[in-house]
Amino acid sequence: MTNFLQFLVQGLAQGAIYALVALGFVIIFRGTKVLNFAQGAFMLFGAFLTFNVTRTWGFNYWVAMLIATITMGFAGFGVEAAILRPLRNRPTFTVIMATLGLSYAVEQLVLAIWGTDPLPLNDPMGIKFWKVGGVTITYVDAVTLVVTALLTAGLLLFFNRSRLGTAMRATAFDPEAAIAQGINPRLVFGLSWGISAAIATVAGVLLSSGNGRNVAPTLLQIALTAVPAAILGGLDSTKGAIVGGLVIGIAQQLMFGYQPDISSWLGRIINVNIGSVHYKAGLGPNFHLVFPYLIMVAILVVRPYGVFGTKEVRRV
Amino acid sequence: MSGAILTLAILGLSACCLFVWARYDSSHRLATTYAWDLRTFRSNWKKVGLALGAFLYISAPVGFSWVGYKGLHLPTQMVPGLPLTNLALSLLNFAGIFAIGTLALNLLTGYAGQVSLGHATFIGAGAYAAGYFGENVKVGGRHLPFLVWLAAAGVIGALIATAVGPFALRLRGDYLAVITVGMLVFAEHIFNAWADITGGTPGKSNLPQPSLTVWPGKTITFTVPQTTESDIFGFAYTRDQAFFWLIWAFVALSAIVAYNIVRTRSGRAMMAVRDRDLSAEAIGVDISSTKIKAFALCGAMAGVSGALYGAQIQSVTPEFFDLKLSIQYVAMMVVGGSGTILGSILGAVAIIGLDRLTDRFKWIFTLPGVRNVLFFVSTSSNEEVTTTGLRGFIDRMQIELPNFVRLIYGLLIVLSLRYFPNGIAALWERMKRTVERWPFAR
Repeated sequence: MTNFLQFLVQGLAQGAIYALVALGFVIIFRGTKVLNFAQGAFMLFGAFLTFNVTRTWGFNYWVAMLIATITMGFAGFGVEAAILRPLRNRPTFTVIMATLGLSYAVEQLVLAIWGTDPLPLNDPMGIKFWKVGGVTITYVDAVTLVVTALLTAGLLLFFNRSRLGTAMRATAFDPEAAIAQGINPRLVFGLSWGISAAIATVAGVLLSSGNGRNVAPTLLQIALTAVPAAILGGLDSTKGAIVGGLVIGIAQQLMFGYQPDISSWLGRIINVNIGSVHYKAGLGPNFHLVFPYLIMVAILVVRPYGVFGTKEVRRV
Repeated sequence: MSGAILTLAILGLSACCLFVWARYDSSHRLATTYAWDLRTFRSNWKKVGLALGAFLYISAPVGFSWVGYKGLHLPTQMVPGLPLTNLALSLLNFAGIFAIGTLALNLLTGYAGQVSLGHATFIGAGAYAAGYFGENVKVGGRHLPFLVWLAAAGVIGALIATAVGPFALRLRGDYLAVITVGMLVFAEHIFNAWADITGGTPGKSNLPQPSLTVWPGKTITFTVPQTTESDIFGFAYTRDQAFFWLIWAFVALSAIVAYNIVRTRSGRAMMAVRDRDLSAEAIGVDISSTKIKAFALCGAMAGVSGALYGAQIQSVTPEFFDLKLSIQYVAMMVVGGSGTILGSILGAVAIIGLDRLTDRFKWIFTLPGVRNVLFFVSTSSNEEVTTTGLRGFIDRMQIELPNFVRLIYGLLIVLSLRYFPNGIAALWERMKRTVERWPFAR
């Protein structure tokens, strides 16, 4: 039971990160109908920028995070204006490729500036933890959960209560009608990208903080794991992104924790006889890393629009 | 000197002949009947291109001496009597291998409109299948012949692609892209885990080498190094030369297959599905079977490409077949021109060429406020910039060559989507139009 709770806590913290990144996917998809594969690049660049501000320039960790977040917000806005806006009304494929190309270029730029070695952030959370009835809760996990909750609440307030947030929802619902009402589409589209880039930065920094964790290019793969989370919840549902992220995080951690016990069947799932030779093919170690994608495939087959997403009515 | 003048004269004369012929041909450009539209050579350009291609195919590795012409010798030649160095040939070989894969991707994405970011899966499956059937499987104590394991690689690729195909029946656009990424991640995991077949994370070495039996008792082998004993037609060759002929023969074969498919009924069905699936179904196109066929075809060609890649490079690791490779293929397709046969080949040559062209340069410069700027470093001369303390904007700006090339890929994709949505092939189309309709069109 203690083990289970431990995995659950870790899964929640991991899931909170996925939820933040998935929220970025959702905000952009709702606002501009683009699936942004460059979300991981924003996360990567934001985290490395934080490293630069705090370690090279010597700012406080939290201040550095704030500076990087705001900078990345503007960067996201700029990316939309410079790259995505000219590609509006082009085929889906073109837009996907543009975000992929951007992601690729940004990744290489990061490698060029900061190199490939993992870089420690020296954050204040460090290796500190609480022990609650046998369950270890690290400061980082707690901070991650709190920040995610605060950010989500803030964003929901922004979308539902503020004038600009309402304008963004209106544009997502019906762009032409929104423009007819005097809403500036450039501001709204750019803002969705800016907010997403900022959230991704926060997620990237939190993911690189704490015990034994560094800023490293592998952040990009974690951002990719948020895609299943966004799909699970539904690409146009804010609620779905949060739930999807948490579910994927917990599922992944439970798989990580319990796979050694059940690997008797998972590790040796394919037995093939070719000729007289007997081959054993296992799903092997690190199965938890691909588990979210299997969930995603299952969801896409059963409910392509996700659990909370709007069903697209179209028959071919 | 006289050689250069002769070369220029021949080239100029050919250009003039081409111009006149193309102008003469232009009256037949517009199709008036369906059969006329379906014919193989829709203009004389294709015949000229085919002849030129065949000529270059034979000449590239051995020079033009076989037609009695000795005027053109490039200054970089390292092997006596060859116009191209072995390095340049191996570059073209890689370009050819990637061209086959890009053709496959172009059929699926460029013609049938099914977005696939999982192309590396099919390539990897082909490479590993070739390794398995060429090395592990023995019939009567002997290895399988080259064409058999190559075909097996194609079949495995097609099978995997066909298994993915049904997802495309339910999902479109963004969702299809996402599920192909999922497939790729899963495939990479399998490549790592299924160590019996793939060699696991360290990779599989000693991949099978091709050898062709021309007639009983006469076998062409492709292993290095060559002696004068093993020759093709009384002519001693190096490994890169032999591979050039082999690989580009397969490029030609794939291009012909692809061209004939897109020219005829099934290709038109694919394009109809791409442009508007609802209308396609309304005019009687079977969407499901068209999509699945496109996937199977793509998988088969990609499998062959992967098998040839394995043969050329001799050992593969799972980490090679990741999302980056898929993006690289997409870059080739987009830069060359999606939805064109010629573009697939040009794109592959351009992107692979970029890899090595940048090898010649080293730029070092200083930015204000930045201590060391070493822009990019050739991989051959491992020059290190000494850095003290923590690295970052202030300390260091160093782009290693592979990173630089990838940075260019990324920027090329973005820029060509923005400014050249139809790729390099569109430039060629435009040139043809200019010549044919000059002075009425440019």
